[in-house]
This record gives sequence, C-alpha cells and structure tokens, in this order.
Amino acid sequence: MSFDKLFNLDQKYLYLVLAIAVSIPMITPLGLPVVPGTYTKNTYNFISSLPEGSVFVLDAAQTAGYGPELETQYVAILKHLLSLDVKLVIVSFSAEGPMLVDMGFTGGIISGAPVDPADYGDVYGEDYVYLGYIPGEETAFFAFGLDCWMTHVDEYGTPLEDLPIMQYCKSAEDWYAIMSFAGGAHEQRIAQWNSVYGVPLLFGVPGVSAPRMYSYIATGQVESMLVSLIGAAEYEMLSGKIGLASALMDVLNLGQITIVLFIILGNIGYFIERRRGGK
Amino acid sequence: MSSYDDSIRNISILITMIIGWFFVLEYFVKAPAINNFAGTISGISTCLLGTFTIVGVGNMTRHHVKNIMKQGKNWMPSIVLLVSCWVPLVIGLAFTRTNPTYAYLYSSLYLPTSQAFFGILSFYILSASYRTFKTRSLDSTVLLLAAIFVMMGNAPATSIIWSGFSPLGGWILDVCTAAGVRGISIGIAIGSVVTALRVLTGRERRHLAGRE
Amino acid sequence: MGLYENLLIGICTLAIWSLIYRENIFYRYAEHFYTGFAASLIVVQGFEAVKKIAFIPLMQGELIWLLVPILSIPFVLFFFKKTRALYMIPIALLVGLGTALGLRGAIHAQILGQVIGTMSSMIKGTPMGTFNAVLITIGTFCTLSYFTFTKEMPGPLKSIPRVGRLFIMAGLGGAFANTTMGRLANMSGILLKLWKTEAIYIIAGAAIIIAIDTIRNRTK
Repeated sequence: MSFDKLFNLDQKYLYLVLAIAVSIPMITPLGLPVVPGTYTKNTYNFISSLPEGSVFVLDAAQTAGYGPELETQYVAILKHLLSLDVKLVIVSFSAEGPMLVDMGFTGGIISGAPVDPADYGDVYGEDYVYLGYIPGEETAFFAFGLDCWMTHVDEYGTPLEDLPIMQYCKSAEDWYAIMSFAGGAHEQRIAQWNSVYGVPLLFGVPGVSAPRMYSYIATGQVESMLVSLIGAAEYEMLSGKIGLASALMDVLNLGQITIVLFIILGNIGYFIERRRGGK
Repeated sequence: MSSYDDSIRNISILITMIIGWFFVLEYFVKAPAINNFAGTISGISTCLLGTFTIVGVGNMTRHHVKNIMKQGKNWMPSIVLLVSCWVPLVIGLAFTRTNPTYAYLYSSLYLPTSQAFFGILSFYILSASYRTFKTRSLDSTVLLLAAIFVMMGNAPATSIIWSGFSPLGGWILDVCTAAGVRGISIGIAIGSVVTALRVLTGRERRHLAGRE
Repeated sequence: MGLYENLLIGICTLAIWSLIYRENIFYRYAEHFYTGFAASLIVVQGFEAVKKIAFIPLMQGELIWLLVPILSIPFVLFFFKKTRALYMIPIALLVGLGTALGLRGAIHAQILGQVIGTMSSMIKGTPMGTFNAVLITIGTFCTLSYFTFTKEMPGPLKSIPRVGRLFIMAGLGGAFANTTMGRLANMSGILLKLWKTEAIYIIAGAAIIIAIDTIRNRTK
C-alpha cells in the first residue's frame, strides 16, 4: 500500500481500529500487568499509617465527566479507609458529588460493586459521616475550613450535634489530612487548606489534571496523588481489594498502545514523504 | 446606561472593594469575632452561588422557548432540552435528589451520556495525533517524544517490551513537566494577583457590565 | 441493573458516538438532553445546599441569613429590563469575596510556595536527585523568561526563553499523554456496559444501520 493512501486514510477507519482495539479486552480479558507507581505507593503508605482515631476528610467532588477515573479511585480509597480505625468525614464540593457518593455505597456503572461500611464494622455517625454538597468552589473551601458545621445537618437531614463523629471535626485544624477527588480547582484547595492550616493534602486527579500537580508534590504542598484509572487500579492491587479499575486497565493499555502506534506510523509516512520531496 | 444603573454600579463597585479588602485583611487577623463574621459572609456567599444558577437556567429557558416559538434551527431538540431541564428540576426540588425517579434519570440517562461525551474525545485524539503530530521542528520533536514516552509509561503492559518506559515516562512528568508547569503556574498566579488588585481597587469593572 | 436501564445506557452512548460517523439528529437530541439535565442538577443540588446552610439557622433565629433570600431576589429580577441592574449587587459581593480569596491563595500557594520550593537546596541525597533538582530550577527560570515579553533578550541570552519553550513542549507532551489516558478511561467505563449487558443488541443494531448507510452511499 502506498503511503499516500495510508497518510490520507479516511478517519472512520482509524476510529474503527481504535474501537476494535479497545473492545478486544471486553471479549477476552487479557490480564495485562499492573505495576504500582511511586505516587500510588506513597498514597497507600500515607493512608496505611494514619493514626487511630484521626479525622480524615474525603472531598468527594467527582463528576460524571471524569466518572471512571475519579469514582474508581474514590471507591478504592473508601474501602481502605473503612477498614482502618479513622474518623471519616465525607463532603462534596461538586453538584454531582452526592449522586456519586451514593453510587459508591450502592454500586453502579462507574463504581463497581457496592461498598457496605457494615462489612468493615463501621457505624454511620460514629465512624463515618456524609455532609453533602457545599456550592461555591474556593469560597466553599474557605468556609468549610473555618467551620465544618456550616451545613448544620448531614446529607440525610440528621443534625450534626446528634452525630458523635462531628465532635471531633469542628474546623480544618482538627483534620489529620484530606484527600480530594476533583477534576479542577486543585490550586484553590492547596491555597485554602494546606497553605492556611498546614493540612496534608492528597489528590485523586483525572489524567488531564495530573501535569499541574507534579510541581506541587515536588514542593511538598501536596503529599501524593492517584492519577486516573491507572492510579485506582494500582491502589486496588496494593490494598488487595480488586475492583472495577483493574477490570478496565486492559482497555487503557491497548488504547494507548494503539494511539502510539498510529503516531509512529504517521511520522514514518511523513519522513517518507519528505524524502520523496513532498510537503 | 441610565443614572439609576450607574448608581447601582457604583454601589456595587464599593461593595466589591469593601468585602474584598476585608477578606484580604482577615487573612492576617486571628480574632474570633472577625473570623466568625468572615465565616458567616462566606457561608452566605456559598448559598448565593447555589441560587445563582437560577440565572443560567432562566436564560437557557428564555432562549430555547424563543427558538421553539419561532421554529428556528434545532427547535425540536430545544423541546428535549426544556423537558430534560424542567422535569428533573421539579422532581428534584419537590422530592429531593434521593427520589427514585430522579436517581434513575441520573444513572440511566445522564451518566452514560456524560461518559460518552468525554469518551468520544479519544477517537478524535487518535485522528488528530495521526494527522498532525509530526516532527517538523525541534519543539514538535520534544513534544512528540515526551508524549510517546509518557503514554508508553502509562500503559503498564509496555513493561513487557522494555521495562524503562515507566521510569522514563515518570521522569519526564516529574522533572520536565513539573519545571514547565511551575513556570506557567507562577506566571498565571502573578497575572491573577494583578487582576485581583485591579478588581479590588475598582479599576476592573467588567463583571458589572450592567447590560441594557 | 435491569434490561431497560442497560438498553437506555446503550442508546444514550451510541447516540453520542454516532457523531464520529456523521452529524445526525440522534446526537443533537442526546446533546440537548445532556445540557438540560446538567443545568437542572446544579439547581437542585444548589437549593438543597441552601436549605441546609441558610434556612436551618434562619429558622433558629439567626436573622443575618435573611440576606440569602434577599440577595437572591436580584437573580430573578435579572430577567426584567427595569430591574436588571440590581443583580450587580450580589455579583459584587461574590466577586469581592472570590477575588480576595483568590489573591490570598495565589500569593501564598502558587507564588511563595512554588518559588520557595524552587529555591530550596539543589543538593539531594543522590546524584540523580541533584541533577533533577538542578534541571527543575533551570527549567522554571527558563519558562518564566519565555513569558517575559517586555523586552527581547539580546544575543546569546535568546537561548534562555528558547530552552523555556522546550520545557513547555515537554510539559505539553506529558499533558497530552495524560489527557489521552483520561479519555480512554472514560470510554472504558461505558464499554464494559456496552459489551457485557443487553446493550450489546444496540451495538448490533447500530452496526447494521451503519452498514446499510455505507452501502447506500457507495451505490449512489
């Protein structure tokens, strides 16, 4: 086949090739290896070494747009935290957070199997609580850091004074650490929580947001992070609680390899055209 | 703009300056009365940001109702938009988001649509990178090599081919990306500080356009 | 999930993905549905949050929370020409607060934090660590110099912003790779549902429609 035809391939054929490549693991799971990276290991080690009874805040700001990336990370971390003796305060700063937090507990298309805190011996109101959605992004981060009781009731309408766990969480000064699952506003979280209160921050980020975080990790403003679906799969492997992320890794592997192969192919075609004297 | 609009605008500029400088100075003050007041004002602001969405929904409704009445372009999808906005809105406000119908609409219709929207970009990424990702210059070569090595590092299966992909991809992200992004972040932060000072001194007024 | 939910998931997904074949009415309906529902979601959640944060203390006698409904009225008055200007008042409050918080955060976290991190000791425990630290420092300075447009760098100093541009290119390459990974991850979640549930019948139907359309276009 001449490279003229290859270089000017109708894009529908490219889409077909990608569709076939990512569908192969759905038909026959390949079980390609997943090797935990440094950041996932650091996140795992940090959470594993949380002191007993410490207050850990989960900022569940996932959105459907980053669904499989952030929700799988959230579920993997949630399972690990529920198995530890920590006081877990869950809050959302995105409008879809409450729906996806519920989905984490009840199971769904992007969260996998249900997570029942009772399986870990956790009691709502004593070991974990969900405060619901607070609108406003940076304004909300600031307000919540000042006063964690700003919602007055939890997501299900129970007054906070009736929840024993909230006696340990009045402001950001009571937090041992916070982990945010968010597609944006990372710098604002660093500014309002780490810079002001010195609270260690962990992040679960989608792939598109990860490049911004490396410089903050290097300066110590962020402890560590999980990156996209791969971070969730690595975390599931480390914690021994295999879930949805591991099942989807084959798609990621084959998809990325396909794209790289086509980029290389395109460049080979370009060099051949250049040698022939073409544009 | 009428003089009435002008006076409202001037009052608004004053409010921006007073509130803004109060919160800037609050940063340096550790006094419970002031910090609690700041907390209350920020709580009121978070609520306003929650109700502010009325404007967006109202604008969208007005635009699409006009489109339907004129039978303009895509007037039938406009009906779908209005139904998909107002039906869940009424259900959600009346029965809260935990209502089974609302949850069903979210998980069976909205969630897969949202994921599909973002997933479709991977097809376009393949097409765009095949056609345009070429080593035409040193800059594009660096861009291309960084992208390839990071992508190979992000696919753990490539460790079968060469175990160095993952460490190399990680190094590019930890060092080169961190350096580039840090410089950009500092530049953006300086720009946002300048803009913030313009807003707080009343020189920047575009947020108070006061359209006719 | 039941049969109907899975079929709905398949229909919604393929309505959006039909765009990669060509623009069609199903895509437009799905797109408009998505926009409408997203708007309703934000309003519903916003109001539920307002009920918790403002109305509860208001019912308990804290009258300052009356400011919430009072300052929300201009958002409704925005739609009437004569009262439109009043919306500037709550906007002024929000912008003032947001700007101040942004200013505080940008200085402390982004400028000071990043500069202090850059200016920290470049001598690390290992040679590779030291090399990386030196490279990050050089890269940060060069990148910042690239964005200095006040005066062009003369002579050999021109290479400094040039090096900065190369670091930005490397950063963009990494960002592109991570974006690709993210989008594939999005696709993977929905693929599982398409292939492993009754939604596969929708794929079969879509394949038949595409085949018929392709044959029709070829025979024209």
